[in-house]
Amino acid sequence: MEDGIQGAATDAALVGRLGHGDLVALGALYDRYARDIYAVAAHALGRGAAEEVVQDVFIRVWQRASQFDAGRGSGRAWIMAIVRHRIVDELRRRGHRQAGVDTIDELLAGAEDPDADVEEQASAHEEREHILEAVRELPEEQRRVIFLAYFGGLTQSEIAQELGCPLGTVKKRTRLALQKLRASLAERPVVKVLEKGVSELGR
Amino acid sequence: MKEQDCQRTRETLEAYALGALEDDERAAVDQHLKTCADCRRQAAELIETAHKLPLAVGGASPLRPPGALKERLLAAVAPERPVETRRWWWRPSVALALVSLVLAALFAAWNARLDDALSQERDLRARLARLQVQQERVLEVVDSQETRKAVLLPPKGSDSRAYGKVFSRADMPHVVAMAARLPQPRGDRAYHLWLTRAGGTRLAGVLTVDSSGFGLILFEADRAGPVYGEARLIEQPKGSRRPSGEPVLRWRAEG
Repeated sequence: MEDGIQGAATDAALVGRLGHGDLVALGALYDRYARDIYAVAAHALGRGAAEEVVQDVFIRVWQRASQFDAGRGSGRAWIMAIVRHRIVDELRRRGHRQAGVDTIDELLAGAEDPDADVEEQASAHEEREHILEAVRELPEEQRRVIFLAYFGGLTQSEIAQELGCPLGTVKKRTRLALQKLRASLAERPVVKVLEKGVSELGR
Repeated sequence: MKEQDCQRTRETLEAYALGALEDDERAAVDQHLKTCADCRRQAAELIETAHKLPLAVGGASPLRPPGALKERLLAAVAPERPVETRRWWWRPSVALALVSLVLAALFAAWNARLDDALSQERDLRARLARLQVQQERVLEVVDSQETRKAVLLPPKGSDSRAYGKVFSRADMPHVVAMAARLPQPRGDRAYHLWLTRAGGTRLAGVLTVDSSGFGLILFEADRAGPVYGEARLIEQPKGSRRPSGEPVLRWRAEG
């Protein structure tokens, strides 16, 4: 972000621009993440609610942009935290948090390999594929635990109760799953290269 | 004492990042993170990881938000803070460059006729705007839900680690081609990108490779959503008029 032009490509810079009332930046963030937010909301809450969630999230992002602190994390993490709150709140209000997580879990557990589908591969974003692959590589019981926590908003003891297994097991799976995910995602070569390429166009 | 604190905290950081701790446990972690930069760094990384999960869902799901939703959103927030007039100079670096250009233009006005200075300024503004448009176009082409992508790979059996991509959109004539991990071309040679479609093969452009082996071309096809059958990147003498020799990278449509 030392370079304004390169910074323009990062989420943090886009969020920063929202603070100056920049609609182009809001449109760019929408183009990047509306698909993911919509998918999570549609699978967890149903398609009827998903549009409203997407709109609410981006309005909150727009209104709260000044609260974003780039020193504390990425723009994406900040946006997704808003998404998660919104979805978990809604699931809690409906009183059946696991049901929403089940649908997401089934989707991710699906045997369908995006690489097998040429159309899908052609339109999918590089990083998304990378993350999807890493999540699919997790053992099923580990994935289930982090999904119940992240998408369902369940605490570890609630998860233990839900799965009927000891709290210690849930804690262990939580740690293993997220550590493994972090390790698999440590490299994101293409996105970096692309950002660099874009910055060089400006020179 | 602190080490014990760190160890206890580290054991719960994954759950903390996923929002799965009980209130009192979370408060204890928050307390520790205030005083421990190491654990704070660990926590930040795990939080980044956790917030990548929605992208896996986006990648696996066939569902897409309806097209009109974006317009509705922008319309919903627009009246609050209309900024269209600021559209092209918001970036700090551009704003700074522009300020100096305007100053230079004003200074010139002391010496020359005002008309001259203004036309000079207009000209510089236009050049800056073009540069800006080019960057936005690249992002528009590569980073949208409409993006189609072809992956170029080295020939079978080669030990090259290079790869490339051609991005296009059904609704735009612009095409972005990029390649990475390429060595500098030899002598008076250059990387030529040839694209083939029903009407024949044409040179899309010459790829200049930077010190890290990366190059990028943006060009405009004669119509929106060009459909190609083959893409070849060939290292050949500068100014070549037709493809010849083994490509360093290639993609071919299936079927």
